[in-house]
Amino acid sequence: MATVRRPATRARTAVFAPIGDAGRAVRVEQRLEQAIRSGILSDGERLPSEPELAAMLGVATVTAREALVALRAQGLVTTTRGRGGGSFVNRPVVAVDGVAHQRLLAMTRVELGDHGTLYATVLSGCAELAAERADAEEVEELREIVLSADVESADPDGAARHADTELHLAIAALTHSARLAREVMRIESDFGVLLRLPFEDAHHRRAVRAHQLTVIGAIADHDGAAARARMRSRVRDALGDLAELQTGLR
Amino acid sequence: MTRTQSVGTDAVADAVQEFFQPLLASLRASGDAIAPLFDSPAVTSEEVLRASRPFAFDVLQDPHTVGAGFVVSPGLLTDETYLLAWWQGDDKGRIPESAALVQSTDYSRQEWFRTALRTGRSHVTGPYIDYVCTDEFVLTLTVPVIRAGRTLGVMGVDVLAETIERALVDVFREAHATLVNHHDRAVLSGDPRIFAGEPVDRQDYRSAVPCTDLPFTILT
Repeated sequence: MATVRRPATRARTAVFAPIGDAGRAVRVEQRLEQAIRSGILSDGERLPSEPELAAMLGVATVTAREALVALRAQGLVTTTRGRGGGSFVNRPVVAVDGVAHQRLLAMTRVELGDHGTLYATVLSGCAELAAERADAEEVEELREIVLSADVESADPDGAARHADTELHLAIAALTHSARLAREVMRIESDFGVLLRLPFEDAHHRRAVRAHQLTVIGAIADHDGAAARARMRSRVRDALGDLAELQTGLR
Repeated sequence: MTRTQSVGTDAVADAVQEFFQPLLASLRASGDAIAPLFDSPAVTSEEVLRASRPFAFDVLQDPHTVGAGFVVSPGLLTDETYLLAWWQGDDKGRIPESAALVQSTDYSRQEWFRTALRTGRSHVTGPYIDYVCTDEFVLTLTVPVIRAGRTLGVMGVDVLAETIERALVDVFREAHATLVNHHDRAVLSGDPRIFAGEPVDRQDYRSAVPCTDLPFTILT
């Protein structure tokens, strides 16, 4: 299994931020699970070693080990021994899509609209604050996340989903609110997975990329109102496409 | 692209009536049964609760419902100004015994109370988030309870917006129709891009057919 190297970003830094005194194996497990399912951690990438992970998260080594055992049991992590060995992310892309399609089918339109409203409101609020607070370098990091999505790759929708999730987490991090960043992580691994189902369509991917660049443009201009409005229409369009997809599945 | 309309507006209108009219009939019957209690010169909240309970439970027999009850016009009781004789949930518990917010709530300005009594006709409010009782996205159906010209209150029932969607979305989709309330907010739409509660512009539609006895319009 190849080791994927990725640059450090705010979203990734948040994944490995100290988890605190109340940290338990289950919280470590949940945080890593969310990061794997939402695509912040890439398929095949090597996780830090148990002692490194423990040090980064501020928990005992035995706690980190326990979390990794649980992630292995879930099939989200594979561990190899010996030289070059370690724990690797094993993202079940197809299974996640299947589960997401099932969830979408089981949802009423009222529920879909409800999730969409929460998601749009939180993300557009983050975009507004990010526009007020981001410096030029941070804006450049956002742009790199979007442009890193290789649309010509073997898995273009996977790459685009990954980049879009990471963009949202990075924008949330720019609000400087840890609670808001955690909330965005939560809604990304919950509803975000559904909202990105339409990425299977190349037309949708192009439309999202255009939206992403206009949102980043407004953040670069420190125009909070525009960033809010553009993020809102980005989510709004995606929600419409998702609703069409749901209707089509029925 | 030509859109084939296999279901006409009549069929949609019939489906709407079939959903709402049995509930309204049930509310009217319950209200008529409770009303004679107020012939007595002094009525207590305890008496109203005792008299209303079996009728609220009758209304709740309909699986589409999440809550039902009788809401007394302010000032008619000897011991309380306001009284929501209302039961909800799977356990049919009475709200709002613990909720101080609800106890002191003046519901006389709420649409579901005021409009039914002002017009003297049944009314449907919503969809709206009912933060007082269920915390859910609901529609509230109310009928006025009036005896010998005296306004006693309203008999009402809550239905989840989701329940209406489940019951009616197929026929609305086939007819490419949208149901709006009298504030032109969507109750339900066959168009996937229109969500319940959103404002809808009538000008975007060819026809607008009002629903008999309901504050709704079917847009196609």
